Amino acid sequence: MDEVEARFAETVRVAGPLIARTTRGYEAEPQRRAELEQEVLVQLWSALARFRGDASLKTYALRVTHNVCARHVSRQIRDRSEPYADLETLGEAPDAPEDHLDRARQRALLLEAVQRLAPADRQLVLLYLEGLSPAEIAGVTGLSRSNVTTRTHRIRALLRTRLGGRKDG
Amino acid sequence: MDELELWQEDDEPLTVDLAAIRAGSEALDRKVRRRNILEIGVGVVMLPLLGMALVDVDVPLARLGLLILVAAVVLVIAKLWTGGRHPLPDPSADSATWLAGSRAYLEHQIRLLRTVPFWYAGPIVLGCSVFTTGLSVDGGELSSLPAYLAAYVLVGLGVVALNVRAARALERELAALPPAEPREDAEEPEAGRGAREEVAESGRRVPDKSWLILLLIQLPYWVLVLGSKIGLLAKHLPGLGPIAFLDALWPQLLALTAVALIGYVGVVSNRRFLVAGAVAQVFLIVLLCVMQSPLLYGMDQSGSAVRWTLAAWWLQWNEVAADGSWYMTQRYIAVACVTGLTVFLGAMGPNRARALGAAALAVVCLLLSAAGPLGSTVPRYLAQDALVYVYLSDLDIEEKWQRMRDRPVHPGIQELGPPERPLNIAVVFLESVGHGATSLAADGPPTTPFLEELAGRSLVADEAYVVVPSTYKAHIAALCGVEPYFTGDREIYDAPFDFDCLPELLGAHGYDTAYFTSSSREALGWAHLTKHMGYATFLGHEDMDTTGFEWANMWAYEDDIMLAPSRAWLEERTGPFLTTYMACAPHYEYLATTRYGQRAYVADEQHNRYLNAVHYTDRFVENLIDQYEALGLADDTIFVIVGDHGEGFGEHVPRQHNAVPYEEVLRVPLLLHLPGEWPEGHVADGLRSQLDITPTLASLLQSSLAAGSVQGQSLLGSPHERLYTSCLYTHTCGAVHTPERKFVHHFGDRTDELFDLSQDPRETRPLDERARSEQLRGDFLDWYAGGL
Repeated sequence: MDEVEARFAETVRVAGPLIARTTRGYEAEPQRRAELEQEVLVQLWSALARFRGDASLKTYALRVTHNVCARHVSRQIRDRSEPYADLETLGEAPDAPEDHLDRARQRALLLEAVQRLAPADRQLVLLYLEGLSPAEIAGVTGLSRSNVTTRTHRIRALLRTRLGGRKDG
Repeated sequence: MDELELWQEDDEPLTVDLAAIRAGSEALDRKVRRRNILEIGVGVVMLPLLGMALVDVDVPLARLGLLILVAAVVLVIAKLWTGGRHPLPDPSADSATWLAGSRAYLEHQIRLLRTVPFWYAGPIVLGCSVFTTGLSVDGGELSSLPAYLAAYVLVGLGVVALNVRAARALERELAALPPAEPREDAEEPEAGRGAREEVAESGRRVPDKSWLILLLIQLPYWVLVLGSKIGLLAKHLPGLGPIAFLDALWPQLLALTAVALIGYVGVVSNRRFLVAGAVAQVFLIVLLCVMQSPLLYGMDQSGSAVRWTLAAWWLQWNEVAADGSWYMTQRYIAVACVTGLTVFLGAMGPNRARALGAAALAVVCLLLSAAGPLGSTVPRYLAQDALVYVYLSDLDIEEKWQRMRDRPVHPGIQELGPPERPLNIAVVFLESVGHGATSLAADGPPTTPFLEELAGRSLVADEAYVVVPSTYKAHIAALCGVEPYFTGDREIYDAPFDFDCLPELLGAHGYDTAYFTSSSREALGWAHLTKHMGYATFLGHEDMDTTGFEWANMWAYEDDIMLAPSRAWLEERTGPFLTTYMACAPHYEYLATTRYGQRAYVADEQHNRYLNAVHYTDRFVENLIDQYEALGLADDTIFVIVGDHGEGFGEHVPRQHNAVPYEEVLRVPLLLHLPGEWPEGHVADGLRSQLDITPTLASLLQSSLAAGSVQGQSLLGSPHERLYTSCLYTHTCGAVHTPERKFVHHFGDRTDELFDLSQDPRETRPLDERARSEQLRGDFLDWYAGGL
């Protein structure tokens, strides 16, 4: 096993499910999602050859994933007829009462809500949902930490409204 | 936190197919390598091929096309190289950096695709068009040229359309990228800064370079026309003062300005249809180059008024020339259509007023250019743009030709009485030999010592003139005794003549007739001409043994090639005969033959070769008469030595002979030699004509004109009171000789001239005698129309 392959295996171990969920957040259609995953992994393989350790493997993998996905979304723009949803829509509760839905259904509805967001919002929501700290999110997005903090605060509030009607703080 | 837990409960594993990932990564590397190989490969394959073609092709315009193609290939490779080297956004960078890099990359690619007409399709189409045009022009195969040009333009437009489509897809992709949100507390990333510069730059887009594009498209045309025009003026009008030079140049500059203004309408003022405007402009310039080149070439060689058919003949576009002015008319229509389209596109664009204003100004420039020059020093045909001049003077050439064809022709001799003194006749036509180029002229070069000596025991017409300065017209005048048609090739192709000529007339009385020429049989249609004149035998160089003989010009060997077949033919004769020898050595090209060496007569190299060729004909005539003497035929033979016309070497601007109304061309040597007849020599003084040869021969043969008449009069009688000459190309020039004055008419191309040849034999000081000029002009035009 060469160095790149070892590094790749480690990255998949650390960030594999995270990459899978992120690509799902960007592409709903299964076939295209599989292709997108493949493209992300190919780019990741190539990028890992240049990995110099200036970020964690997870951050590094997430950068590649989000960037490749953003490019994918911009290429798909021709097929998209409806406009992106406003971030505020993330806070709208599902039609059915939450108690009546199982966890899988709630998750699916959350994914749908995420998939409707504009790419920039979507990136932040996805990174937030993966539990990254504001510093880590800043490392992936290139935004300032204060900007990230402000915006993830708002995202958390919207998500909590959606899931339980609770207001944070 | 609930939402995070909920989200992360989805632990569906990532599908990792390591083999596929490796393959995908390698495919990416291969793609980059393949692109590199393609770029270098194009250069490796194309540039040597083009280089080899450049060495092989010796057609200037085709070579220019190849040079454009070389430049185009280098440009394409350079563009692909630098374009391809634009840094791809690094996907492992943070998103803000990646976004900025992606934007910069997409902007660059879009710009590359949008400018394909200028760095790829345009130059390649232009190069191919010029190359094909050059080859077609050189080969005289112009019928398929428009199809080729249209195909190039269509393929070019197709390439442009595909690239525009690809650029639009990228623009949509660019628009869909998330807006860049740079970090506020960090250094702006390098790529991001670069990207903004790119974006700012791209905001100006291509039209800002439209002046450069216009310049690139039009520059070759300006260089071609202006360079040629300055060269023409320097060659044909040396020593022009600055004022006269400017007067000679401004009409051309105005015409070029009109072209530039149309270019402005098509390329600069019209951003909405920039690509269409530029393509139309390229087409227009190629078309104008195709039209201008032969005219400029013809004018360079002849220095004469531009005639489209003359230029076509010069380039040996025989089919095109036969098509007459219709070929040129089609191209004027094409120019009008492309110009109209350009102006229409300009008017549809956002700068309608500016476009229409520039178009109107172009029309004004063209009209003004047609008014020049202002002074009388410079001929109109040298100062005006060749296309303007031809449009104004040449497109109705068919109508003028028809008028000339309808001109009444003298019926000539219908029947010749039987010769009381059936002497043989040997006529020698000296091609392009003017009186002044021989030793017969008082101040002539010592080119013809034999003729000079022969003149001392011959009948000599010292002031003999042609009717039309053309070889086959001279045959009609000399051997049929009537003025030839002024134009066209009617004598060659429209058989039979309306009149009879000596070979046919004497053939009726038992004369055997033969025509020898050192040229090819088909040159200038002599095979047809001599057949119509009634010669029983006709021999060109194809019928002769060419071993040991050199080419004397483009279609003739040195004249001694005729001696052996002449001897063979003469040895078989038992009765009277008429022979004619066409000595072609001094025709244009004037190749330096070595048989009799080369002497230094004048400094000008071309003129000197011509004078050496004249000397060659002198030796040929001597050899020929020696042959007749050796065969015991000389004492019973009348030798007629006559120049068909002279040759101009810029003495009065025009060169060569068909459109030169001056003495160097119109005045020819003419002597008749009959051993023992004029032992002390006899000068037929006064104005004499080639028309006089037939009646003189009839007189010497003591043969009566049984029916019909001639327009000449015997050299043994009194001279003409007046002689008229027309240049070969209709409505170009003509002259009237009277004992006191010579009048030259230029049909408006320049001021008419009046000379006193006794005081001004070189015709350098025109006289200002208006009344006499008016009278002679009126007489000339009456004669020209057939009124006399």
